Amino acid sequence: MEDDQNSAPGSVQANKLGGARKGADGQNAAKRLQTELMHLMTSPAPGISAFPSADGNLLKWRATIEGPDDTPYAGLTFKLSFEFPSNYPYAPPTVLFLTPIYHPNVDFSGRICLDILKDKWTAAYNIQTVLLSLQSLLGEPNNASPLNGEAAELWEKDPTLFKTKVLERHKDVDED
Amino acid sequence: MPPPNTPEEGVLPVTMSYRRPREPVYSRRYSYRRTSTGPSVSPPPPVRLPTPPPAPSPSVPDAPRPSSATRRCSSKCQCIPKLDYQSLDYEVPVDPALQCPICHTPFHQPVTTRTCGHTFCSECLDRSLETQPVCPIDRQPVNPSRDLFRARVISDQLERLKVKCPNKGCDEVCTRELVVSHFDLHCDHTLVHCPDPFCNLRIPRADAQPSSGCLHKNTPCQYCGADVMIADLESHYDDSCSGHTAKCSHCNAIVVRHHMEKHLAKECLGREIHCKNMEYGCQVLDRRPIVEEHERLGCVFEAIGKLVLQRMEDRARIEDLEGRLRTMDARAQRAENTSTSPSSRPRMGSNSFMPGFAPDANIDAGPRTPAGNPAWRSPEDYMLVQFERLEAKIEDLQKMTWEFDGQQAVRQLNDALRMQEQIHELSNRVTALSLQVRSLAVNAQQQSNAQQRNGSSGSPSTSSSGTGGPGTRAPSHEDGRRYHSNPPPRRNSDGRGQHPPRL
Repeated sequence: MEDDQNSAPGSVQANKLGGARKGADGQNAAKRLQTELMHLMTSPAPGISAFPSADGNLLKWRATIEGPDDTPYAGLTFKLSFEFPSNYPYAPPTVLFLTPIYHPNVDFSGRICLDILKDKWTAAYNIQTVLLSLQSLLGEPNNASPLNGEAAELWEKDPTLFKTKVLERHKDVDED
Repeated sequence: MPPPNTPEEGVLPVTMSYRRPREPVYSRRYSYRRTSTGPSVSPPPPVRLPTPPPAPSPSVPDAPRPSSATRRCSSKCQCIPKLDYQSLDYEVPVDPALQCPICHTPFHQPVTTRTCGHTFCSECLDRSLETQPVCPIDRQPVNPSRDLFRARVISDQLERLKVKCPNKGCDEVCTRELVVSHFDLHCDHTLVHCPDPFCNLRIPRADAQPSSGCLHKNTPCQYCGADVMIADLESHYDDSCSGHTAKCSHCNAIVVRHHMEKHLAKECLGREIHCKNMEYGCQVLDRRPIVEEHERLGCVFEAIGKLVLQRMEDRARIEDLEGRLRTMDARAQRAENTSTSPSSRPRMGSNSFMPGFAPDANIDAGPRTPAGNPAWRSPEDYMLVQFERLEAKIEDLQKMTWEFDGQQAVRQLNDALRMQEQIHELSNRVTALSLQVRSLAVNAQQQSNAQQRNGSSGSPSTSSSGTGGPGTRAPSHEDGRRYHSNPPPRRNSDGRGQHPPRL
């Protein structure tokens, strides 16, 4: 199930590829992530942040996004985990919400339904663009393909109740 | 659909041990030939081993070189790992617009899409197109064989940027264009094959001397006894050697054994050392801090040391000057000898018209002199004198040439002036003559006119030649004769302007 959730064409192919390429890829992915980290540190975008997880593995990151104003998520902060494949950026990272979130396109275990994290991923995306896309997804859910049907319904019909549910569900989690 | 590039096509990191031969697919696409990688492009020539094992089948040219010594480079082979452009360190930060959106490093062999005009490193885009044949930025369909072209302007611009050599320990900074050849051919830190043909490992080029043999053999560490590769000894001493530290016998500091000598010479605080002016007579011998203090306060022998150095310098200079003086003396002596000998008077003193021919006799006389003249101590001396003489002669000739040039110029100028005067005179005469000719011609015409008129009127004596106009009455023969002396043009025009009535 988890594989289906965030699989992209690239990741399937990567598994088939030989070992030589994998080693080179790992290095390239690390290099690319380093430049991204540098970029995020030197010119941070407002409302988002990301950093490699403490164990020094560049392929696992923690990120936060702030809920955009004028949305039910205003004032809330959400933690996410990024896991990069060794052939990143040719395959998308696996992104999960660590903070429980009530959203039409996020299920209860934090998995996200977003096209650019699946078949619409291209190598030109990066952590920052993914985070910005997720931020805008908070304000503009795609109710046509919901992971959380109830949330999709309430978003249309009862914004007040939706907001209450969002606040109920939101609670800070400690880093694991 | 099979991917256009095989997995082996990927970027090989610097540390990879083997190179695979390039597939031609890549260069066929957008004519990015890997010329820059220099000799590493062609697969290395195999070396025949005493007992050659069966060669790998030709149907799998892409197979990596086996680790056993079936195919390997000669010790001179320069085949080395490919330069990794993504890890290059640029001297100045590169504009983000010149960085590939995929690898986020400055473009390497950039290609641009025809459909949407986005630019990427060719390798990055290749990888991306393997998974999806669309532009990574706007998802427009891209056909790798048709829709891409080289972005030459961009690559030219980037090749000019200064980069540091990617090898650790190398300080070389050059343009990106040149760093490839530096890395491939010149850098001492590039990993090349071990000079031992049976060793498959790599070693920095500086250490890969055939004389030093294979440095990948293990040797027992002199401190801890562990088996260590010779090439790794340095780092072994620094880090992993269990017995690598020792107590300094003088200062009780813990020192890496390998650096003990350096420690004793430069750092140890307990060992007694001499003042640096010992050779000039300073007797101070004490522990480092005291000696340093002594030196700092000013050792008296320092001044003496300076004097000694100065004196040595002076002496060297004096010797040099003496040597020169000797040569000069010898030369002067020789010159004297030459000037007293009767055959040598080539100087330009004579004021004859062609003095340059005089020294010919001297040249002819030259070869005779060494035999008879005791002043020539050696053939070199003789040649030297001859040479000097010839030089003087050339100088004389040069002066003469200049003189001649001057004379010639003056003469030419005079001639030209004279000729100009003559031309002037002649032209004046011509003008005068032409005036005369014209007046004569006019007169002749007038006369013939008058005669004609007289002949046709029939009464030439009375009614003809009313040329004078109203004021001239009854012209006579005298009149006709008189206008010889009158200015012809006026008369003529008067006559024509007022023609008398014929009746």
